[in-house]
Amino acid sequence: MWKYLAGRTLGFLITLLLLSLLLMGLVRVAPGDPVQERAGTPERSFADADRQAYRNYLENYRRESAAWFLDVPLFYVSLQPSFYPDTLPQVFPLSHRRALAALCAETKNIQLSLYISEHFMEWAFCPDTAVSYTLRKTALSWLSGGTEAGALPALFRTALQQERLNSADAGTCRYILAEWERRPDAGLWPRVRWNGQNAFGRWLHGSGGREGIVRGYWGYTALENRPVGSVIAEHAWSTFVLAFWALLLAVPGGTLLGCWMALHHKRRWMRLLRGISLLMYVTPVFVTASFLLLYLATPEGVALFAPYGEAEWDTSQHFFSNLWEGFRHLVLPVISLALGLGLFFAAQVRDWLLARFQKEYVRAALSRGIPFRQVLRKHIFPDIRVPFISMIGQAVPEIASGSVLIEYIFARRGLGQLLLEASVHRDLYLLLALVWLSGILTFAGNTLADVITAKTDKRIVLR
Amino acid sequence: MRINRKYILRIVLLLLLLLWAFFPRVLCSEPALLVWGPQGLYIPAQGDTQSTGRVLLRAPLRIDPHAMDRNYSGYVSPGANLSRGGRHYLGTDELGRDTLAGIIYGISSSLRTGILASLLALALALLPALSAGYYASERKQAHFLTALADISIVLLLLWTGYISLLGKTYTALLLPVLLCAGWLLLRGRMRRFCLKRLPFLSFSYSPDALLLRLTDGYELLPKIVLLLVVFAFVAWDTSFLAILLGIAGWPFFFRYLRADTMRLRALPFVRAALLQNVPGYVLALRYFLPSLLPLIFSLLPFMFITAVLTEASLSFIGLGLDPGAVTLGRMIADGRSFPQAWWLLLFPALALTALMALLYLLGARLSARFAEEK
Repeated sequence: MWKYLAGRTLGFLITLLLLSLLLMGLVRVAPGDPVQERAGTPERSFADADRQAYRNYLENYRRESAAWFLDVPLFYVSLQPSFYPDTLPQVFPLSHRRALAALCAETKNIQLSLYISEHFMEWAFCPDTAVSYTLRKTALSWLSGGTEAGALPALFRTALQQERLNSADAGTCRYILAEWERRPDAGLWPRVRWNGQNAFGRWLHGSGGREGIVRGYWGYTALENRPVGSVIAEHAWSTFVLAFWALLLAVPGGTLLGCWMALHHKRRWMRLLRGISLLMYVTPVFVTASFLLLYLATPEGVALFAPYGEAEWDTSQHFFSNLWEGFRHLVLPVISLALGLGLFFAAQVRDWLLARFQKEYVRAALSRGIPFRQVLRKHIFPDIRVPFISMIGQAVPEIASGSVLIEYIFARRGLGQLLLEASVHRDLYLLLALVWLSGILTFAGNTLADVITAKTDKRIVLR
Repeated sequence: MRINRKYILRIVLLLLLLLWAFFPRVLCSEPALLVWGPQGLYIPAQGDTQSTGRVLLRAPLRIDPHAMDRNYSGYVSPGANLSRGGRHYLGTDELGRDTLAGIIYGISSSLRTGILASLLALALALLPALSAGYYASERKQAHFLTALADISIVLLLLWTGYISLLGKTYTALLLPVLLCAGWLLLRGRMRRFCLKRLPFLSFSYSPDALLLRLTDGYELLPKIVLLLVVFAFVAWDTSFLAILLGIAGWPFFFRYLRADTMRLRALPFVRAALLQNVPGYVLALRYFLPSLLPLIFSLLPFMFITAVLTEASLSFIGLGLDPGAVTLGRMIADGRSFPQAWWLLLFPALALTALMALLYLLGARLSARFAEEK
């Protein structure tokens, strides 16, 4: 049992760590840039500015990306083509980064690529010096990703032959062309490197003057620059209340409904009831919630309940009016979350009970004259206890994904809403913390269900 | 080949479903489907309304889901449409886009997601499930040298693929692919040779336990949360989502297929085959697969339902969704914003619910039949 728990926890932790690594890698390769969210977009502010402005922007960008650990490689071990820089592209803005990466792949020479990009910056953002038309145009279009890296030598040659360049620029062009000709051909081979400083390690155990998650430090949010833990704690209560009431409504309610449906399964109207319950069970959560919101909480229908947000406890008001406010805000989200789940439970319980009614041990007990109520309590309920417990364990991910939609629809400031906001703003460290939280909750629910099952049924051995 | 008459209706329905899923244009499009023009037979493009020539084939419903009808803009209800004698039988939205065409294309995208995701999940789960069920409690003999060769060849393939993508030259892939093919041919012989001559480098492992452990941690993550996090960084459309759902959904098939393979393996006809040393692929294709088919058919609808539901939920939220995509979830979300136009919310919601209910009934019926057969 303990061995089982330890093995399972270990496997789960490894999965979560791998997943976090994958997500951190996704930020680096995905189009769009979380750092740019905070540092601003370069194109707009540099339309007519000078080189210093771009330099300042670059400084700012690098500072921000250092806060996101983008200035160090992703993982302890990196495997890269030897011409390709590990982290350098991460500390340039996105458009520039892509152009630089393409240039590196073309020249297979990081030094030359950096040299070229420095001079491009100078040509593009320096209207004071007399720059040739071709060079300036090439530089501008290259920085915005409009020119293929392979086309550059031809453009340099054109500039050299057809325009009167100043001596410095002509020298630069000649140097670039010469270097370009003798590009090394060793770029195909991988270079394996050990990175003492890396983003994953900094996030996990902390280094370079930062604390990691093993010490409970989950980083700062992108927008408000507040600790992730406190933001999550702020939003957790709303979701907890929602999930608690939904489970309280769904589990006992669904079970009772299922029992009742099984006991009266021969009635003719039961077919109709089953049809209705099936239809409501297959209706997606967000459809139910949308209709309930529209027809029970807005002036379009009957404005019985509060449509959005959650109630604040107002001490100046009467206790019961506060209670009524809370109820008005909670009832629709709870019902729409609990309805599908409860009806699913009811259908399951009904099927189990009906299958048990046909079993020989039940028929034997009934034929011996044992009262039906006692057969139900002593024979059937212990038999369906095991699947019942595992069903409740499986409800946790349902509640987690359902609450995202419910909180989105009813504008409740809970964890689901926080997840959506964080996704919109690409708030990596907040997202990682939320994935861990939901994963751990699901894991705890499932494992608890397994352990209780094994405790109640001695035939089941956990391994 | 003779087809039993009672299957003809089902085959026609299945073909219609596939047509709806992958070529919704055939059901609903503004331009003609087939035109005899000056250059001969051709198919007009999606937005091309002025095609010259004789129209040979038209879709039954001649409306485009993206087309904005200027005469019917500003929320025309079905009743108002009827009194004006228009073609927008389920009304239009603010810009004059047709609801019925949107629903047809939305169902098409739901079906496409469901079909692709469930088939991909099945394809990914089949081989692991067969091998896990087949080896059950046995341990498999492996050799360090062959394992090393396997890993290095996979790494080499990945590496050259990555380099080729970076440099956009694909000739470098030829050598590793040839190497991989050669290794696949030689692998069995090499493994036997190594096990015989260098037995001290061999080790044994249980494929079943390994695969179960792999799926264990994988299943325990809430999928919608994960997908939302991924879609924060990557834009998506339905086929991309279908691929992700297929990858995420394989443990579902794996568990059931593995259990059923274990059951089959104990049956006399498989044990007789095992005694005759029937090769592995024959065992998989001729013995296990035909017996697994009923289970597979009863599981497919449930995976289908999950995929349709996830697609609808995610497109309802709409985070990172391709702006051109027409899905039921997006239509419902749009309909919510203007509640006076009840037809914009009601009809897509009804279509989605009806689709889910039909799939659920199909799944329930197939699994009941499977339970009977067993």
